[in-house]
Amino acid sequence: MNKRIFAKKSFQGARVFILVVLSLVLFFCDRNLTCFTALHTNFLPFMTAPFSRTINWPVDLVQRFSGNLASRQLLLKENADLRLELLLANAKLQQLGFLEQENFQLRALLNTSRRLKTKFLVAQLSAFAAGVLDQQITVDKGSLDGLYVGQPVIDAYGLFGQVVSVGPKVSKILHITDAKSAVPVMIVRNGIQVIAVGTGRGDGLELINAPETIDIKEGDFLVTSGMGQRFPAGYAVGSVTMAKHVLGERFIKILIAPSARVNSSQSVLLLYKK
Amino acid sequence: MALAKEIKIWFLILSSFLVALVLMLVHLPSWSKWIYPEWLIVVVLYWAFAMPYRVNIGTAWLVGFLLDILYNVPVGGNALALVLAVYFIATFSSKINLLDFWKKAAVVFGLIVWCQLLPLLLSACLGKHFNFWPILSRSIMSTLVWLVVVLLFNYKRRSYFESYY
Repeated sequence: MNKRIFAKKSFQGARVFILVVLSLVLFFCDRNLTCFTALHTNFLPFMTAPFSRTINWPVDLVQRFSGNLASRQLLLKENADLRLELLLANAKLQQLGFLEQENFQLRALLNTSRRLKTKFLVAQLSAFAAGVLDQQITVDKGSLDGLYVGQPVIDAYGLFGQVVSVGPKVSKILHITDAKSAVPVMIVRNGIQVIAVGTGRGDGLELINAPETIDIKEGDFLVTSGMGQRFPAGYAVGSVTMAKHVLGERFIKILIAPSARVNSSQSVLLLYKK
Repeated sequence: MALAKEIKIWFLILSSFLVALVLMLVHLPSWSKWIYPEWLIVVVLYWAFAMPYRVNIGTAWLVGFLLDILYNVPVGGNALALVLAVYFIATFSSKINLLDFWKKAAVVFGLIVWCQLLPLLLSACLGKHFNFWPILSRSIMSTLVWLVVVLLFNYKRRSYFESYY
């Protein structure tokens, strides 16, 4: 064994140097090379999906079984809760039908047209890879179901995010609290339009470039404004939890708690442009 | 005989990498990013200490590349960090091995923090925000895993390759 240490002449320093340079070149070219973009958006979801599905089937199986074995009382209670929720939702919906018609008439008067009906697809959130840098959220639908990059995703409570990469059977979603995500929003109370950017800490969004004189206060509700045509208008984004003037800063600091909820194994809706 | 032993060793190394990879792909709730250990990094560092001629900087680069792809970050950050960490081990292993157990664990903790921090610092150059605290808690968990692996496995390994030592 000892003989080997001295017999083997290695060029470790040179090898390290080459690998370091290679890594750095790859790292700083990653953004600009199209082959890597293709790798990240098309190849990876396709490659890792079968593996992660195989690995995770015991977990999924346990979840499915525990769902089957839920107690009767629990189900009855849940059923009652859901009935109540449905009643409330229907009550609200009655009014909505009237408002929709009124809105339609007003739009006709204003000579603008906007489709109110949209097509949905229900998908299941399937994974949270334990990455520190960004939350990677995947859904169990892909290009075979007609998903496309940039598609808006909502859940029952509000805007969830958008599709960023599409594989044949799974896709990756960028959550609105991610630092890479920006959503054009509107303050419901007064119609002021701003842009909400994710903080990247997974806890919320903040409004960027909101001037000191902006009319906003804690509790204000924000919806998508439809600007930029990525997200359709009118979906709940969140409510203002903090609006603070920082001395010496040009812009006011505004934090927003998102309406959408993030849990694993939850359903989301994908919206289609028609 | 020698060949059989070599095959045995490589089987062990590759299966440990495979197990680590499987553990990295498990679906987990989002709070797990605070406590989930970096299995692949721990395995690479373990082998870099145990068998520096087999798991060298080339292996480290390949595993780093795999990590970059798994985490969907710009390719090269994890690879660079792991190459430098393994180079550090290769250069100073004779000195590190002389340290007592807890000091060695401290060195490993530092290396694990480095392996996680460098890719994020590089990403910060590209304008990404990151949170330092999950890195710290995950490094602590990873070091604990390393301690358990060393305590359990070093003894096993000695009996597994009786003739090797």
